[in-house]
Amino acid sequence: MTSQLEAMQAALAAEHAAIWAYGVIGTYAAATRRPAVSAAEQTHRVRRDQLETLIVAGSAIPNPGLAAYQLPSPVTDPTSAIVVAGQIEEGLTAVWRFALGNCDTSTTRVFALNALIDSSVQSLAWRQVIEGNAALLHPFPGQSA
Amino acid sequence: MHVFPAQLSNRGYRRAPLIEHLAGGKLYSMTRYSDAEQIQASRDQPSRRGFLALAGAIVGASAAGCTVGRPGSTGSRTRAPDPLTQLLTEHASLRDSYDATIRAIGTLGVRLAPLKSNLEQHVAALAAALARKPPPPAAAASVSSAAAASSGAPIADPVAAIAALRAAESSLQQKTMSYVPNSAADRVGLLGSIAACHACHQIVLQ
Repeated sequence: MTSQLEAMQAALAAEHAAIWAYGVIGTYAAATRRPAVSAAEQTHRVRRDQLETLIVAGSAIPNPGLAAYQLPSPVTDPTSAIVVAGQIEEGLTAVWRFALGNCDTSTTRVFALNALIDSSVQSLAWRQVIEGNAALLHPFPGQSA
Repeated sequence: MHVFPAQLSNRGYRRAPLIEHLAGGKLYSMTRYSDAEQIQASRDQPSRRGFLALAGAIVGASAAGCTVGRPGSTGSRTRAPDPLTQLLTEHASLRDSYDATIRAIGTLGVRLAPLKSNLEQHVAALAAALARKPPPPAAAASVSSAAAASSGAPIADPVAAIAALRAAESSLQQKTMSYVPNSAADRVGLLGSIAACHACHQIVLQ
């Protein structure tokens, strides 16, 4: 059984990684996509800060981010940048669904729930950029197959 | 709650199975049967005091919506419905709305079929979650009867039909989210994923 604190620290690590990834994505994204990339990155910065506050409120020290991360696939051009953005958000849905299942207060559950919903929606939005109407609609975002 | 001691007095033969239930941890922490009522029950049948206190706790827990009791047992008929039953019914209703829209406006079929399929999976998953705890007797019936309840005005305008489905998805997302703070831990992840799916459906129904 994972504790709520462990789940929150794991989610924080994933948010650190997402913020770093969006830095790379923003470098390669087409100019027309950059406002959306910046907005998504800002969403994760806000969530990271709120998460750190929640962890501190639980009398723990938030784990710091790393200097660099391995991307799920190479980012070399505007298309691959958006593909990776979709992968990052999809990965976060799994992280937040796991966190949600291990939250034991109303506050943390609602926080994890909103993060799960946001990442699901953002993942779909990025996948629609690449795949259009063919983008898959998962029945249970974040649930492992 | 005041369904015994007459009901209990003829259940003495069940003593061993009832104790097994208790020992198996199936009472959870939901026994809300009051001490005063247990004591009164004991006084009514002093020779069975010990057994009545135990059985009374089990009947009380059943009446409070707990998950004690096997299908067909007398106590399970008094159980309050699992709150998830209502959510299951509303998902079945939205599934039926997709079905009705696709039948009325065939050109929307390709676009709406994946969404309807997701709703079918939500219905199945919620029914499975209910089945893991003993379901109320009416659960299956309410799922299949939702189709009749959801038939309303004829569906003709594609724009209005999509807007109606989007509103229904939004409403059901909020409803599903409202279950998250107070649901059992083993249901929270499923409810969160279903709520997230409703949010995604609203995007493709723009």
